[in-house]
Amino acid sequence: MELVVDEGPAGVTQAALIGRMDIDGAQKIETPFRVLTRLRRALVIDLSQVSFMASMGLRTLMVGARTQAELGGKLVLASPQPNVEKVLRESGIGEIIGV
Amino acid sequence: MDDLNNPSPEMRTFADAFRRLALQITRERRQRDEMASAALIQRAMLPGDPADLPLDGRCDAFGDMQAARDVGGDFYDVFMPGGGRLALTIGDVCGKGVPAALFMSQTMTTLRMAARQHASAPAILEAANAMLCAHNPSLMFATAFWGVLDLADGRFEYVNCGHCPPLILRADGSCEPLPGGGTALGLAPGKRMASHEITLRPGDGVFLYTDGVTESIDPGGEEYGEARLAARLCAARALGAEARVKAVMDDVARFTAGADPFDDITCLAAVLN
Repeated sequence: MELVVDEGPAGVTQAALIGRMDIDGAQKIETPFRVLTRLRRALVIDLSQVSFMASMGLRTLMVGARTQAELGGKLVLASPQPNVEKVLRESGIGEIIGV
Repeated sequence: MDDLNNPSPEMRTFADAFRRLALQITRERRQRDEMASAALIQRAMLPGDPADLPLDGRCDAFGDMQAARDVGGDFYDVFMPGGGRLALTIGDVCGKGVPAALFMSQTMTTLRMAARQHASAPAILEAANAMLCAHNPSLMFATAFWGVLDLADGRFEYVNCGHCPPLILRADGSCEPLPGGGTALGLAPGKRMASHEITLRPGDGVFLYTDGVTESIDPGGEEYGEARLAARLCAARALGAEARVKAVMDDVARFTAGADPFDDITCLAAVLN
């Protein structure tokens, strides 16, 4: 699992997650993702290159979204693949975070 | 003695390799111990045999779970809350190991407590969700499906909290996912839950499962999937609840060529007689 960050225009940070967001993947990016959500206030998480989303991956995203909300920021998810979109929709987490 | 005080480069390399191996063995043993503890917690919470319930031949129910080597947080429950009804629950906690097993046991206990205090399915799930959200700094969560079958008239009222939709298998062989979804438990305080209702006729059944079934992969990397599950169930429509569960779990084992599951596999079936 990789996390690639790109500072976009108007203060919006684009962060692409790449790979399988299973337990190992979620653990690998947990620390850099947590640091990112503490340092930025407008985050778009690009999921287009995430091939699989497990429940621990959902938890990582939820923790990030909560951190953003507590700091007055906003995190949204973008471009999930169909299988990831299905997981986000069925769990209700897509509705909580915003896709 | 001189060698110990002034080790040669070869000895230093050997010592480093031995230290790394010892650390790895310790880590792996600790992980095995943790998973063994998690498995004990998980198994202790599973319900007894539904055949022991006073179903009086009105319904046939059976559940089974195959825990992954790295134990996940699957759970299921079958009990009679009174009034000639059968409650069926299935769920999946995020993560693995002892933290997931502990949250699983907390979720099951909370659901059982809420079922004693509230009559309607939405009220039960709203109360359970409130209790799980109340002390949850780690943002653990559990998908859950809760259904109650009236054994007299076949009405099946259910609430789906973010779980993969169970399948309804009609006596005529049609197989459809139950409509309606929701949000996993533990994430959204104050979330209002919506219930849905269908009616089962004699010979109809419901099949609840966790995503460990549909996300099982074969040696080529293909997922078992919902279509394959529905097809297997349709082929098993003449069978009772236990045989349906075994048919699906055996099919998944064949599909994965006997590989250890990477996630818990749980199935719960009920057939109205």
